Amino acid sequence: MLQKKICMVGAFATGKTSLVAKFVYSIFSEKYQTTVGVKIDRKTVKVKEQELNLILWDLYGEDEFQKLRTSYLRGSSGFLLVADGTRKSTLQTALELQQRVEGSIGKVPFILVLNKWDLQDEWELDAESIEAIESKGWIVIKTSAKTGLNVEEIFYTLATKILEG
Amino acid sequence: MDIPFPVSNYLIDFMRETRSLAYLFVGKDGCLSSWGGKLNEYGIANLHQGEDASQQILLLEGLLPLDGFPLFLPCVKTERGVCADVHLFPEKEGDWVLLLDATWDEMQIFKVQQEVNSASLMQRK
Repeated sequence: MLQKKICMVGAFATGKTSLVAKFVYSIFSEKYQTTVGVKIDRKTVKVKEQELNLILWDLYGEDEFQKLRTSYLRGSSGFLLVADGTRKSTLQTALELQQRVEGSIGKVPFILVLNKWDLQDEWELDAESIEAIESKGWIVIKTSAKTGLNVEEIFYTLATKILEG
Repeated sequence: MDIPFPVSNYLIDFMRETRSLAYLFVGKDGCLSSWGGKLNEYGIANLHQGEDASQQILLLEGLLPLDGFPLFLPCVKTERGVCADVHLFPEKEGDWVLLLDATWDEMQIFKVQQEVNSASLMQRK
């Protein structure tokens, strides 16, 4: 079966692991548990009548002590760049990571995921900065791993972009 | 450096027993050629020689063949939930993949990282 590797990248505690857990296992936990190294999961999806194995690499979140290890990215067909809408600094981290990922594996499809939309009262990202990013041609999608909002959509949209080449 | 046989033998036994040493050899065509060690510990079983390696071992998807340089991937947690240090290095006929259990390292890093990140999140509130 056709397989594609997808990496989850972003600052720590943005919800990368929760998005994967929701997508693959339909579960969500409020408890924050940091990821060490990388966790690999798999989900088979059907995109444009084609069965596709998504191999999901959930990478540890970047913080001030640990930078992204680019060797994990090798062979990725696409990536989800995850930011936490309630922490503006995580968007800056995402923008920097996008540059580094592209520098490492070249131009591959990606989506900027603004997670934690269920906490929109605490949202720190303004519409202007999101529009500015969209105007660069980036796909930006708001999600909530807690409610499930757009969780399937980000993976299916990325898979579709990958298959379109 | 020449390592006396008893020393290298001791090290191999040590790695096999304490870190669940396992290996795979994948041809440049991407097909699995040979394997051994404690692969079961990582949930790797029912392997078929001559068939696509990445279809049988998920973590290999996209990684092989190597470009002539070794690759080190620390703390890779497989579907089985076991954490492994993955070492990949090339040879003329194909690429070697070594797996070494990294559960202890993961636990130690987790404790520190969890504390630091939680404190950082608390500080914001």
